Amino acid sequence: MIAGVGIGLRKELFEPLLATSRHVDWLEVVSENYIDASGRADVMLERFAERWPIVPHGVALSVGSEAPPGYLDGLAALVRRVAPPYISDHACYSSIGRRNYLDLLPLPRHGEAVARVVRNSRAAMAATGVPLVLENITTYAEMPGSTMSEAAFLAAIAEQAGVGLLLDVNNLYINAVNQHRSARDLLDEFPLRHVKQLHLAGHTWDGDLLLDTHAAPIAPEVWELYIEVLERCGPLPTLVEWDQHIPSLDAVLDEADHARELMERHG
Amino acid sequence: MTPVTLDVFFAEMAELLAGRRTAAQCETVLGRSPSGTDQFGVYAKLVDRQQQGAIASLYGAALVAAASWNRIRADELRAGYLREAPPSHWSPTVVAAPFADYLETHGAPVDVIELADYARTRHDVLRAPASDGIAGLAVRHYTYAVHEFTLAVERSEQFAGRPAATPSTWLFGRHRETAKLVMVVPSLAILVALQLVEDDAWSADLPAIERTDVATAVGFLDEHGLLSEVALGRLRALL
Repeated sequence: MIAGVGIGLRKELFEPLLATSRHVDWLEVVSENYIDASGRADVMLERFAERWPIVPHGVALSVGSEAPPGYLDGLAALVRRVAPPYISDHACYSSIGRRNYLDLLPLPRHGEAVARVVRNSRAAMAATGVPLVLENITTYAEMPGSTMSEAAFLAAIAEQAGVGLLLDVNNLYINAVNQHRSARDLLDEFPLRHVKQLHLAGHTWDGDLLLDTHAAPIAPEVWELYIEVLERCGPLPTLVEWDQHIPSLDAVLDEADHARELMERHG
Repeated sequence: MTPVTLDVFFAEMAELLAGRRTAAQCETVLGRSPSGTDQFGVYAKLVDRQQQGAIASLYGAALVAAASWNRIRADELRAGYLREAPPSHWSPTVVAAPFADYLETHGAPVDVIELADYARTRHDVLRAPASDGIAGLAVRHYTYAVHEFTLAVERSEQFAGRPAATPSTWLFGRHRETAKLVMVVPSLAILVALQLVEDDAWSADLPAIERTDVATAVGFLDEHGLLSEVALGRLRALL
């Protein structure tokens, strides 16, 4: 069972995290860093799994196209190793055929795409034996051919595949800004009844675009949205993510503590 | 316009993301993006940036030195590598790792090649399975000060320049307890001790050296966690 506020396990945090006495409820690992892991990553995974619940969070399942060859077997082995209550990835594609783009790419939102995601999500759950939770991604451009809103698309996937949703509050905010829409409106539309987990992270401006870089502190606007989500959904497990310019563990845990305080007050 | 099938969508996106077709050309098949053509095309840039970032995260110091050597050639090398070996694996480090070989075979200068070898050796040693021998260790000789240069780049994103032409030899390993990377400058006695682990016997081919010096080296290797307890026991039995 995952509850409370976790942080993303990154190699920069290995040593301080093993030494800290501060409160950490759970850890999220990037699945791809630990599939077929050997050496230090393997040793560290063992040590952290002894102390904290771990949820593998992937970026390469590519439910919108198909999983790369060998990926599901590797993911299933990782699941056997850390016994998570669920795994998570993104409602998108990241590979086409044998070509991997190392990025989270949006699908056209229509019935055929829903069916493809549903088929692949079921295959992932069958291969790993645990539930799958899919995250809303940042979308910097609408794909041609879309006939559904993002909210309707995610709701259809959740209902038809039986997957949960991971609401990345920062992604929702970024989409609102880049699409010149109100974040509250996007939140009103979001199928919150399917949400099982939340992500919090920082973003960065690049020209006219707000990018999901996980390279900055969580913005005040994202904290405000987080409170709104907690008030509507209750105390959902929450993860604080950093991937670039990772600060000290204390700075990461300060954000996690703040999220925990908000969860206690508003959840 | 009726939405095209996913197969057609992916076929067009593969062309866009590889830079073989423009966003406008893809839109003639897929229909217009409601976000506009320029915005639709941003994905080609974002994917390229991700791929370049995978190389930079492993070979940051080599790229800094390469840019100081010849920025245009450095960009060509990185782009050429991705063109010849488009990412086919989900792991950015697996995608990036062979870039060191590419530099060596495509005319990069020696300091850049050595910096890339240094980065890849650190990566390989960290990933090596645990061993009771010397399989997880690496000894490298460099003609440039790759260690100091890499540390300087890692300390400051603004760092520029090239490494000094100062030769150095490094022993790379992983600490048996902490699993952290350990790097030391090996003495002759340390190299003899490592050869003893490999051979499990003294041989006439080993350099003439006092056994007390080797014993001191074994103590050093133990202190730095560079050999397993099994390997240390075998070594001590030989002394």
